[in-house]
Order: sequence, then C-alpha cells, then structure tokens
Amino acid sequence: MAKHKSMIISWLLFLVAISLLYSALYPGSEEPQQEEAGKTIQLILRTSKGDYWKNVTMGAQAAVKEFGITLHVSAPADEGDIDGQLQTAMQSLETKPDAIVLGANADSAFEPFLLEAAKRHIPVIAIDSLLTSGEIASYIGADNYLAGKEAMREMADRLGGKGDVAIIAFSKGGINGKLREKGIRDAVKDYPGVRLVDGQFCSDEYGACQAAVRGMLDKQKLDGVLSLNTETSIGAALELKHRLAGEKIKLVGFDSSSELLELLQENQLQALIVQNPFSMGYLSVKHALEAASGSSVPDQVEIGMELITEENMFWLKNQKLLFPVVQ
Amino acid sequence: MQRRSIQFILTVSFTLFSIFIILIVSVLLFGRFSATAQDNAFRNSQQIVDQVSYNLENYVEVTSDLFNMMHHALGQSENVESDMMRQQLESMMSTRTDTVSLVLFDDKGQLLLDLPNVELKETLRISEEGWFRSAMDTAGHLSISLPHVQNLYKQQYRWVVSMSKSITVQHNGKQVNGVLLMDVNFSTIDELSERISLGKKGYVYMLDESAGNIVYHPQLELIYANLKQENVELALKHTYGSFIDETSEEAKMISVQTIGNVGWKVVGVSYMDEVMTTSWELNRSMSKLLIALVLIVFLLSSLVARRISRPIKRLELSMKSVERGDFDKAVSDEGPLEIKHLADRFNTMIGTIKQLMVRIVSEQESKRKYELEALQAQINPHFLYNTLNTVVRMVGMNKNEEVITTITALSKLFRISIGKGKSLIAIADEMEHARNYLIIQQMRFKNKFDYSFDLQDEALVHPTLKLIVQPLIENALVHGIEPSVDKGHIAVSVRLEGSEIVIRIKDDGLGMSEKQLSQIQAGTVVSSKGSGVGITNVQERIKLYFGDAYGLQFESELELGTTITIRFPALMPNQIDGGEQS
Repeated sequence: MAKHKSMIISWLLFLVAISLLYSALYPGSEEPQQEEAGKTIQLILRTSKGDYWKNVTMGAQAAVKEFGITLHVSAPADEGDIDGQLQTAMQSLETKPDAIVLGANADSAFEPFLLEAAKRHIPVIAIDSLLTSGEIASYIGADNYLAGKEAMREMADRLGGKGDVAIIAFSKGGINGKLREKGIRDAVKDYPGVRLVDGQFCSDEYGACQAAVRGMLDKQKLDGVLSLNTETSIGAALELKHRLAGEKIKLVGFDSSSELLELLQENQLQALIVQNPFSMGYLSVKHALEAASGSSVPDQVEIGMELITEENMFWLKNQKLLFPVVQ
Repeated sequence: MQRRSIQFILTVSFTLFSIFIILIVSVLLFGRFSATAQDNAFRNSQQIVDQVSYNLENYVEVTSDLFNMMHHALGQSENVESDMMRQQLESMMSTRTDTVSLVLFDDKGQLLLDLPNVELKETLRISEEGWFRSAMDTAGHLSISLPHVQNLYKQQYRWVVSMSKSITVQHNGKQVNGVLLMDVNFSTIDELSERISLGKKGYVYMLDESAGNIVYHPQLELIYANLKQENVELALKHTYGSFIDETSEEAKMISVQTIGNVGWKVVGVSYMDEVMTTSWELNRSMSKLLIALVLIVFLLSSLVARRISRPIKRLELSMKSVERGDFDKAVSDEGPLEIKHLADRFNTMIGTIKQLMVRIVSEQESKRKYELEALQAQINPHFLYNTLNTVVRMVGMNKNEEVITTITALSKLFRISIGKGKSLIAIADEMEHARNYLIIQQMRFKNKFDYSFDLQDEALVHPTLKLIVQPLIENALVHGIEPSVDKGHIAVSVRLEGSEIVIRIKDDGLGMSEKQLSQIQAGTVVSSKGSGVGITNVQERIKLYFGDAYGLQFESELELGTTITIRFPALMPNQIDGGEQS
C-alpha cells in the first residue's frame, strides 16, 4: 500500500518535472498576459468632426501605445445626434469592453446607458462633458464654468471694464455650453461697467452663427462678443471682418481651429480659450484602464485651459497645443 | 542519534549535491546573461539612437548643402528677380520634396523673392521672427531653427525647420543685404522619429542642447501640460552614451547622441522592464528548469538508492529467517555484484555452519556414548566381583592386613572413579586411581607382577581426562603380564614435556606382533575381557576432547613388552572445575 502510494507520488513528481521542463524550454506558449495589456477600451466621441476630437483620439492613441491595450473609437457624425450616440454606446456594451470613455452629447438621455453599464460592471469615464444622470467612474475635462469666468475677465480687461457684451452660444452645446455661459453670467457681476445685453443660439454651421451675430449687431451696438465654441467664434469673427469691425468690437472665443488662428492673427478676434484635448484623451484612457483594473480613480480630473492671444500663439508650449498635427 | 537508511542518505545527499551544483551554475549563468542582456540592450538602444542621429545629421547636411547652393546661386546672380534665376531655384528646390519654401527678404524685412509664389500673411512682422534675427545677428552663419509652426503664408500652419543665412544680392542693380530663408518640412524628421521603436513602449525624443527645450517628443502635449516629465538633465549632462534613469517610478534606459551640426540631442528612452524582458524570461525559465532538474535528480537518486538498498534489505530479510533457525533457505543473490558476493559469502557461511552443526551433533552423540561407557566401567560388576572374591578369600585365610589394604584401595578407587561427576580430574588423582587399581590387582595376582610410579611433581597438578590410565594398565595386565610366565613389571611415568603432558605405561609382558599392533592402532580390536573400557575408548575420548593431534602411541615388541604413551596438552589446573560436562 505504502509502496503504491510512493510510486504514485514519484510519477506525479515526474510529470510535474516534465511539464516544468517543457514550459522552461518553450516559454512563449503559456506566457501569462501582462495585467493591463489585452484590455479593451471603448472610446465614444461626441462627433467625428473637428480637430478637437481628433486630438482627443491622438491623446488616447498615445496612451494605447504606452500601455499596450486595444482601443475602439466610435463617434456620431454630428454633435446633435443624441439618439445615434446613445445607440452606439449601448451597442458598445455588447462587445464587453473593460471600460468606456464617453464624451456624451446629452446628460439625462444617457441614464439608461449608465444603468446598463453599472449592471455589467463596466466603468464609464466621462470626458469633455460631465454626466450627472448616473454613476460614472470619473470625469475628465475642463472646468467650463471657470473657463466662462476667465473669458469674461479677459473681455472686461480688453474693454477696459466698460461696455455692452453679447453671447453667441451653440444651440447643441450641452452642459459645457451652459456652464461656460453660467460662468460668464456670474463673472459679469464683478464688472459693473460691463453689461450682457444679448444672447443668441446658432447651429453647428458657422454661416448660421454669422447670420445670428449679424442679427445681433444689426439690433444694437455692441462692444464685445463672447462666442462659446469653434463655429460660433468663426461665425462671429467673419461677421466682424465683414463689417470691418475687427478689434473695434472685441471678440473672445472658445476652442481653436486653423481658421480661428488665422482670424486671431488678423486680429478679428482677440483671445481664444483653448483646451488640451490631447491630454484629455490620454488621461481618459489611462484612468479608464485604472478603473478597469479596479484601482481607485479620482472623481474628477481637471484639464487646464490656455488663453491664446496673437502674441503667445507661437510660443513653444502653445504651438503643439494649437497645431498638434505635423503636416 | 537516529540512524538513517542508506536509501535516505543516498537520496538526500545526491539531491543536495545536485541542487548545490545546479544553483551555482545557474547563478553564474544568470549573472553572466543579465550582464550581457544589459550590455546588449545598451548597445541596441545606442545603435538605434546613433542611427537616428546619423540620419538626421545627414539629412541636415544634405539640406544645408542645398541651401548653400541656392545661397551661392543667389549671391552670384546679376538680378535676383529675373525669371532665369527663379527657374534655376525652382529646379534646385524640386530636387527635394520636403522643402516648403524659399524666401528672400532684405534687411528691412521686405520681400524680394519667394518660392512658391503664394500670398504672404498681411500681419507679418518679418524683422521680429526668430530666424530673421539670428541670421542678421550672426552674419554669414547658417542658422537652423527649432521645429516650429511656419508663420508666413495665409491659411497655412505647417511645422517646419527654418534655415536662414544673411546674404548680399543684386537687386535692381543695387547691392542689397538681406536674409535667405528656407523652410523644410518637419514631417520628415517627425516620421523618422515616430517610426523608431525601442521596445513596445520606448520612444525617441530630441532636445535642443543650448536651451534644454524638447524639440521633438511623441507626447509633447503631455509634457507641456505637466502630465509627463522627461529627465532632461540627465540627457543634457552627457553628449553620448547609455544610462539607466531611475528617477521616475518606472526605471528607464536612455541613450544619448548629439547631432553636431544642429546642436540637438537625440535621446532614446526604453523601459527597463521591456529591455530586460528576455532576462526575466530566462530567469523564469531557469527557475523552472532548476525545479524540474531538482525533481528529476530527486527521483533518479531515490531510484538509484532504492536499487542499491533493496537487495540489502532482501538480504536482511533472508538473514532474519536464518536467525529464526531456518538454515535451508538460500539467500537470493539478485542485485549488483557486491550484493551477489555478499549473498554468496553468506550462503557459504550458512553451509559451513550447517556442516559444523551436523558434526557437533554427531560428536556430541559419540561423546555421550563413550562417557556412558566410562560410567559403566566405573561400576563394572565383573571387576567388583573378582575383587570381592579376593577379599573373601583373604578373610578366609585371616589375612586381615591385606583385607584392609584391598578394601581401602577399592574404596579409594571408587571414590575417584565416581568423582563428582567430573570428566577432568588432576593427574595426581588419576595416578592415585591407577595406584589403587594396581594395589587391588596385586592382591589378586600375588607376586605375578610389581609396579613402579615415576611422577614429575609439576605435571601432577594439571588436569587429565578421567579414567584413561586405568584401562591401559588393565590392558597391560590382561594381555601382557597375565599370560606371561615370568613375573612382570608395570612402570607408570608422568612428564611435562613443553606444553604437553606425557604419560607412559610400560610393561615387560608378552608384547604384540606387528599385526596386532597395527590392529590396535587402527582401533579395530574390541576386547571383551577386562573392565570393558578398551583402548579405543581412551583413544577416542582423548581425540574428541583434545583434538586429533593427541592420543595414544603404541610401541611393542614380542617377548619384550609394550609401551603406551598418552599425549595431551597441559591444561591449566583451574579447568578441572570448569571442565564439567552437562
């Protein structure tokens, strides 16, 4: 009996030795995957259009390279396409990604998505625009309220603390637009000489924005215009250029594009408040990865904003921010 | 201390020894391999960085050559604005696809010539541009700018590297000082650097040596946003070489090479965990190999140990059965040669023991028989009857004196012959016995013989077998003296000769013929007369007790008499007590 037992033990040891030998000689065959590698992150952008989201994607790609993961990117064609984006988001849950990075076009509409994601234990990182309708792992984006205040401060400086100012906002701007506007409206109170006299919305065609600005300028005399995103800024600047009112009517805008920078150089607008989408993309993937592996993630990561003027746009540190793509 | 089995000792010592050797070898190998792996990693990374630097340096040189050619052509030209000049420059520029523009400004910043002829920005302030100032400040020296966004043309923001140099040209017949600017697309360098792979995560970045600015970095945005730090100091400190940077949370290896003609540094960054992957893989493989080897060695050595110890154990089992008294089962001689030898020896030994036992048994049997006979002799009724007859006759003749002598001798005779049941008695006692016997016989055969004793005192204390002299005397009386007509004489002598006791019984009776003598010596004559304890009995008892070397010797001649010599070793007197037989 004891002899039998020791025979069995000997054979087991022999088998263990053989398997160890095999795995030592052919290590590739059963190499365990690195902890983070092989994870899949779904990135859902607000729109496929524009440099901003392109830069977000580039930042995400940088993180992909650094951490060796898989990234799927999807985006609706239009920032207004809430249903389409929601549908994309819901579909992406089916592919069972380890985490989802979402730049949502709407807040409350995504409640069912967030519920579903929570049910499947897939962490969601909100970027660009905050989601309040459900549970998210983290929000990574700029403090748009502060940015609005900063825009107002810049405007007041340029006007010498006195003048009538109008806001031209993006009709589908979502929570970011609202926060920027709120920041502006709150900051106005600090400058007694400055009045907010008008506010208009326009769609994502800068032509429409130009028309809206034209309407405002036709209606009243303005000393300054605050435009809350790329299209509204271009529209406003073009209208000012058209009226040869550049620099006389101060224009402070948000975001950047080559047209806007050109107009900035022509002094049709005086300042742009620019986010760092590359960092946002990078950090979102980095934190999504952390959330997916169960480590704690900060509730909110603030991405800084730069105030770009004609003087500082070619500074070393701003060049890469404004012209991220080498062409 | 607890005793360990051979199997255990062999297994453990083999295994330990092997582990020791394997450990030493693997530590040595691993050390060597790690060092080599690191060297290789250093070399690889340095080679890549060197290659990048070389390519860049070459690129810059070729581009500078082009610039200098155009610079030269413009300087020689009669009129820089002539169509011929423009065509010449255009053809020069077309040799390189990455030249973005060639522009000539005068020293006030006024445009003299531009290729391609695209509208410039209205808001330009040429004299404030960096490339313009550096060219004007260092006249005749080719300035190469950092990569930057070109700020010349409308709607165009391209990343370029600017080459600028002061120039003197003929413009509208006048000599004009100016600056020649050539912008080269940075995408070539960018792509070159982007393509570099230093492992999966590693990358290459470039530094401006003078100011320590990062010229190129795949994640420049992150660096400006302070999300990522690069250990620029370490790279700036060295012009060339590979180093390990442990300042960040992940250890990195950086390789530095300086590009002389632009004053940039190419820095390759590799992650140590990637670089040393092969080393770690080897480490893992080696430890697995080690465990596997240890297991195999353990198994093999226990197998070997079992093979060695199993026959021994089997031998032990067989011996146990012998121990229990089973002499008939032969030990199996399976196993190695040594074990076979051992088993054979053991079997031989068992065989010998068996033989010895058989002999002892038979010897014991014959000893008992003779002793029984000796015992019978002690109470031989015939002798008693004769003696008592003699005594009765003496009493009838009123020979009281003689009766007393005879009865006394008889009683002494019996006392000694009964003894205390001992088989060994002192020679003195044996002689006393013989003397008493002779006294009695003399009473019977009056004047038929006389006798003498010649006893050496030293010999008397030694022991002798009981009842060996009397039968010989009886033999001499019966066969030598009694049939003789003459009066006979029996002489008994005892001598200590060396370590032997020699007892001689000599008579001058009839003697024996040679035939009788040889029969007696062969032990084939059995006498039916006398006390019944014959010569053969004495002879065998002596040989049984003392060995074949001892015993009786006979010398005899017809009519002259017979001498019987008894030889046996002189035992110590104390053996008289110890020689008791059960």
